[in-house]
Amino acid sequence: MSSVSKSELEARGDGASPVASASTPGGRFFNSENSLKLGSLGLLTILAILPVSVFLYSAFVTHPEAGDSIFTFTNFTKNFSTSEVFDASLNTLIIALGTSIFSCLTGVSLAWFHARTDMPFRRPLEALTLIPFFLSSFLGAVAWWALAAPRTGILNRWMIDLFGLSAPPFNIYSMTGIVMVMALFYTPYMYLFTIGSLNRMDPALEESARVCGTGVLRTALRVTIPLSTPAMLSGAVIIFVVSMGVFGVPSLLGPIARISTLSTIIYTKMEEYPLDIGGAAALGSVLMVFTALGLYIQRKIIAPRSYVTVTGKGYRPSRVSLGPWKYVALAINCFYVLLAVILPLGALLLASFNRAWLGGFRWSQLSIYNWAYVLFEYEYAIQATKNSLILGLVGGFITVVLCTFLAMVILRGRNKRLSGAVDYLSTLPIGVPGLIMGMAFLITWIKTPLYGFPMLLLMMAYMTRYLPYGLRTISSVLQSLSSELEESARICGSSFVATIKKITVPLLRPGIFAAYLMLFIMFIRELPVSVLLATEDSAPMAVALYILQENEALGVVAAFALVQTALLLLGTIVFRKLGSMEELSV
Amino acid sequence: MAEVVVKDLVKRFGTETLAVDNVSFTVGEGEFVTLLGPSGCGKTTTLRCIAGLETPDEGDILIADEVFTSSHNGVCLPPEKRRLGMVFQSYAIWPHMSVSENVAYGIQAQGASRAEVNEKVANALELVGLSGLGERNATKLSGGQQQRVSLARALAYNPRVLLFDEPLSNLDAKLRERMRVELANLIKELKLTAIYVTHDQAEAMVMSDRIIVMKDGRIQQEGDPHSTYNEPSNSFVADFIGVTNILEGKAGERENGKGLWVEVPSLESKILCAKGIERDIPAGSDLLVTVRPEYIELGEDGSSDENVLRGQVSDAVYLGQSWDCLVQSGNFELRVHVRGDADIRAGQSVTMNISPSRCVVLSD
Amino acid sequence: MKKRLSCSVGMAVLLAVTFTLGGTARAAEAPILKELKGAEKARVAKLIEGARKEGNFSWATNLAPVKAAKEMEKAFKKLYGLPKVKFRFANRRSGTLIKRFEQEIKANKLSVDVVVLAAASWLHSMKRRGNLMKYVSPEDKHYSLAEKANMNGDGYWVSDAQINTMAVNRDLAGNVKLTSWYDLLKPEFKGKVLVGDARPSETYTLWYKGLRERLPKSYFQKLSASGAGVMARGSAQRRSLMAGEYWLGTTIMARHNWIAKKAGVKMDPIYPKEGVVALPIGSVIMAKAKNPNMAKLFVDYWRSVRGHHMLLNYNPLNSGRPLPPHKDEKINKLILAKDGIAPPIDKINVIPTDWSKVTPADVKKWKAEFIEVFGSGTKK
Repeated sequence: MSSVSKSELEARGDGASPVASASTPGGRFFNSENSLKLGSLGLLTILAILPVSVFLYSAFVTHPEAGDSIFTFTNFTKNFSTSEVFDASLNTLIIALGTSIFSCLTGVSLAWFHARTDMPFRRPLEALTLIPFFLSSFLGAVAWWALAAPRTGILNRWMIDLFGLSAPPFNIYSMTGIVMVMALFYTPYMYLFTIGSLNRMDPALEESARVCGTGVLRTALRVTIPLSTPAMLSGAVIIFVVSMGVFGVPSLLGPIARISTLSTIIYTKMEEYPLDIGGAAALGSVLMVFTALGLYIQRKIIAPRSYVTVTGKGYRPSRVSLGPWKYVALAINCFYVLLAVILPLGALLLASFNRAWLGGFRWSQLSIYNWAYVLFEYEYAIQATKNSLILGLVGGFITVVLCTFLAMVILRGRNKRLSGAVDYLSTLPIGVPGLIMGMAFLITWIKTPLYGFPMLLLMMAYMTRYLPYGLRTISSVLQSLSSELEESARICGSSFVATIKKITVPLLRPGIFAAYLMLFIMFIRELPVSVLLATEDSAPMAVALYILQENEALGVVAAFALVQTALLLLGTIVFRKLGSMEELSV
Repeated sequence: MAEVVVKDLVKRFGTETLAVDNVSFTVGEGEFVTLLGPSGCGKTTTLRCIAGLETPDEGDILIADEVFTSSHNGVCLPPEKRRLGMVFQSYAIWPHMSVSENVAYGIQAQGASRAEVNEKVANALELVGLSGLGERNATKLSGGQQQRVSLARALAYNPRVLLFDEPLSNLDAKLRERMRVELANLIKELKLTAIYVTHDQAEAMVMSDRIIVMKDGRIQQEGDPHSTYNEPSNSFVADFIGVTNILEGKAGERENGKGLWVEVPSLESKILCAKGIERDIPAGSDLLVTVRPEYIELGEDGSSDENVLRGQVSDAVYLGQSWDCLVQSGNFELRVHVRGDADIRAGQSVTMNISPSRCVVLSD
Repeated sequence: MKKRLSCSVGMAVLLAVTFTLGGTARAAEAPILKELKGAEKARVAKLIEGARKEGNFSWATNLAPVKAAKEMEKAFKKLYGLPKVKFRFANRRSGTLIKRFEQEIKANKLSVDVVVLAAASWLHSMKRRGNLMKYVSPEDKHYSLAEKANMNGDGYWVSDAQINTMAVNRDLAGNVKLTSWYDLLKPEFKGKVLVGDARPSETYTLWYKGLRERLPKSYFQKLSASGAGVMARGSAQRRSLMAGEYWLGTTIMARHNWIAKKAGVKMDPIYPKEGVVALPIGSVIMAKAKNPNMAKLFVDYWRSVRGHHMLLNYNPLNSGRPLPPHKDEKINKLILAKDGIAPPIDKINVIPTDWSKVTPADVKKWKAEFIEVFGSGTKK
């Protein structure tokens, strides 16, 4: 040991010894790995960190829109001292907390029913349970407005007619209404976040608890749920952060009850002239701080408790027999499907067959005009569908490749510090509301030739925005694969790259397909970035829908939304067939 | 000529944890060496360093004079360049491949022809007794069969050294016992060099030519199973392998050709120890003595001159082939194993003889 | 061999035909030139020549839906004999467009030639910063009304009007006579009135500011106390009025009445006697427009009677110039009449505002008062 100096040792501790690379090119196990990591850090920096920091920078200068660059804190002091912002922050917190709690409760219960129990009709119900994922929460809010607006909501009228109530029982214009709509539409996220880990859980863990004499419910609460806590909590953190940035629902349902949120204020600052980019950035940074905090909590408290549950043994988990309770589970799932799918989609379907929506389906208004318009007359429809498919399929594919790569870097790396950095950087975009992400991309890329290729720019922006979701899906599968599966291939004489090709990717296939599908759906739904960056030729479906929303009556919007939902459903079916996936998630 | 040389190996995790602390050993050609120790002792890390799955912070690893890892010139061969075979605890069977495909993987990686691959796969499967199961889905096999697949996969491409990371610990007890013998015989038959990691001392005893006992990243003792069991070097080894009595005492005088007298206050007696006394032990120094329960014989008074102890049986559990007794002698409760046909009752007064060659002075 | 020969002969013929057709199209005078004489004819002819060389044109608006834009494009190309010019068009909310253009200007990458937007303060700021091209179209002289209402921009633009005003769902409210803002305070309309939320919107803040010139604060306090609903988006207000959730809107644009009417709901605009707020809709040419000839021609068209009449079919807006009757009598009655969906501003009482003097501080002040009157962000 005497011949090795201390500094040399330290250099090796980080794995990148210059001597090593010189004497055995690429030979040192660490070397290629570390350069891969640095490469992915660089890529992430370009994709996510660069635009976000360019944007955040404007929070600290006086008049960013005028290119003024005097350092200042006024954007913060000015914006955080008003009672409007205080109230809005409070509302935002309540909404985000409510949304994450309720979607967590529903999503986890539903995931448990589907993954671990013998609830009947699981297969058809799963597809139905995930349909809300195809719609934006804004459309959900429009549909629920049609259902539960105090005076004109279909449900309210029915209840009044049926039970002779004096006042309408539901009021969608309320905190409850906002939280309900958001929770309904974020439940599928939670479902997708947890079902993977529930599917992969060793049934022996549950069985041993049952043997110890605890009942089904207690077992679920004491063993199953705690075991999937890491997946659950990190899902809840994500939903909390994302729902803080959601603008559509509160902007529609909030004003009547005088509820404003941070997102509606940010919207104002970004959408009304003179633009207050500095103010928007200052407020937006709050969301990013929450994200960073959430991630920190997740990494410090939650992540160390994740368990590798699948080894090379391979088994099929058995299911918990619920006895008569399975009908309760069925009832709960059906109730969710009723609230999140049948009622809102039904309302949209009814609206799409009425020329004008007079607060309920009217035979006198029966018309196929909306459908005829959307299918045959709408100039944007075909081009936009084509653009969306290109963005979803090509962009989704590139993103999924990147996600797979990043997941490997994060989970299979030996240099934990670098892995951690990659993990942080790739998750941070979740805390950036779409409106801000769009602006950040615009500011960053407008000066480059890339601005001349809007489809490419859109793809990059989508990639950045939804990278964390794809990454989550893939890394949850990778996490559950024992690294011995790859190590044994290395020892058998196959190189790093060959191992990825022959062992890792085939084993990850279900996760990769699930991520691809998830990204495909999200790409097609994305609005705030698209509406800012897309040009006439590159406008995707979401923008086409937005233009209808501004210029046409509800029925047309409803018809187009249903077309989009049908397309996504079709896409899901095709994906499942191709990926021979048994469930949407793995 | 030594096949495997591990020299001054150091591996840290983070800045604090020293997983492997200056470990050196060699494994001869055709030798079966076991790294034995409780979990966290560094045995698996050492094995993974040899495999190339971990990069040691310091030290050299050579196999057949080829440098695999050397901190002096920063060489660290990636695992695929080492031509080793490894069997994992979890079997690490690739669920997306059939049995044959699993076994063929390493041979194909060497660029063998199709015919050669088929032949080697068939050979390997025959060796592990899985002929005819080649087309099965590997994950549909039983645990024992999966472990055989894993072994066949490691054997198939004629690795220079076979590495085993607790390969049997996922099997049930009966199967594990059978596999021990089978595996050891196979390795001998094929004249393979093997490094085997386990925490199961019985496994180590049955299979190994040599056992290296580790604790806290350091080697505690190195030797064949017999000497490791009978002449443990310290209390950890004595205690970890088998059941034993450890007595605190003070060194007395040496009796030429016979051994060292040790004053054991708790037994209110002196014991003559013939083992572990090669080193210089100054009279009056504190030391530990170990005596295995099965070497304490119950006998008549006066049947021996040295190491005669009297006591009273405080507890006796009948195990069929033997009695597991606790005998109160002085202030100490000695564990004593007696043949099953003896007549033992709790409360009985007994006289015990211990041959000095069974009394080992420990190095700590 | 023979086949190939006939094939190439066919190709040659085809090419020749194409050339002659192209040639004749170029030689033929554009229909617009037939109407013009003298200097104006020479000016337009020169612009057309320039536009043909440019070959491209890009414009953006928050007003015309895609369909209107496509129809205008078709009519324009025919009228000016420019069938090959490639049009690009963006239809987004004004905030989105402004965001984009501001960044493009900063990066010196402005891609748009003509912008038609209802965004007074932005237009003035653009003018001040020298980002607009001065262009006086021969049509501008007809915009004297807009000039009187302080809506025009000194030769940079002339203005049509975006009027957010009262609208009533006649199917529900019946034929009740509505002539004054004070009619909204009638007891039968308690809880039936909808107001645009000024908190996230400059448009509604300016509406409030404008009306406050004619109506006291107490009026709005009474309106608030009578249970008026506050809603953020124009499209949401339209849906709500159509569905009958509320009967009367106060901040409804002509476009939404028109959408409702097309769907068969009798939603009428009301222009109360106290006056209405008219936001300027400027059609401006960018100083750095890449296709200035096309831009000028298009602005001529947009400001002409033809352009206005064309737009009425798709997105009626209150013209800043008096309009002669449309050839379609229905449109005259439905849109251009005094009580129509979008009468030209000579037929309505517009509250004059000097838009060049409205500052962000004003907006902030009036927004604060709106919040005070209609409630803050706190849940009740």
